Amino acid sequence: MWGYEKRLQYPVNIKRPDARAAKIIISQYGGPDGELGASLRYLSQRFAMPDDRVAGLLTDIGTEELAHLEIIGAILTQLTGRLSTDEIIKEGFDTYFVDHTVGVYPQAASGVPYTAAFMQSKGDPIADLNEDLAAEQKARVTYDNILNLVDDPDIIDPIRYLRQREIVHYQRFGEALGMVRDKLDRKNYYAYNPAFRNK
Amino acid sequence: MNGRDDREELLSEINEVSFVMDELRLFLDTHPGDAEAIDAFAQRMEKRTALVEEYTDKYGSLDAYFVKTAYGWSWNGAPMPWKRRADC
Repeated sequence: MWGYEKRLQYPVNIKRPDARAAKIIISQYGGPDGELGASLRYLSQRFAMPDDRVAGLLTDIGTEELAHLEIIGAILTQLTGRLSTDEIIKEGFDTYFVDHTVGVYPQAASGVPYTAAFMQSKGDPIADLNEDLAAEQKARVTYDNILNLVDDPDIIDPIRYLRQREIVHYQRFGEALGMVRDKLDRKNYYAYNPAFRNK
Repeated sequence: MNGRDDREELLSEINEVSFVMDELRLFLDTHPGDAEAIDAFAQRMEKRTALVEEYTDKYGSLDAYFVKTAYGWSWNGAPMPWKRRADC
């Protein structure tokens, strides 16, 4: 089960509303490489992970991703909470506003709603951990792109923090893949699914 | 220092020590035999327990399992963590 602590893993305090920045950053809420997809990916994949140490790592990283989802939600709500109708129209936030007002909805910057089609849970530890490594890299690139597009230090600070977490998670998943490989049957040269054997 | 500044300062110390523990937890998941990291984790845990206890006594619980009930239901008394400082 899960607990909730009433604090952000990293603080967010944005003074200046900015609908344009919110339109971009929302991709890390519900976009293809966003925090929601990251969390669901790891928390779903762990059920097929035979190595308890790696299942534990997926649980811990999947949990941290939920804390990151909350940080992105905090950024979005602080960026959009005090916008005037004029600013909403001028900054092109009207197409979001019409459906969600200034509520936080999981979608990509392009407007595509969050879909589980963004992720995979293959039931094969080697395939899943390789996906996880790619997912962390893709999320890191998305944060790099966000950092190229925003200039408010109040936004940059928590985004940099989240970017650094992707790098650490990538490192840990790399080690986890090594742990799974080390336990493979020595006759399994091609690293076929160690979680399910065809007879 | 006023009450809000003190609360923020204490919360920021809790956030810092918690982050070190979050980081060490992931490291230990893949390096379970690392004695130095285990020691560092245990030290932070001791520090965090004391800070959380102080925070809970002064400003209410961060965790619903530890809500103080002596003066009624305080769990939803504190501002939600995504609120801007200026709006609290």
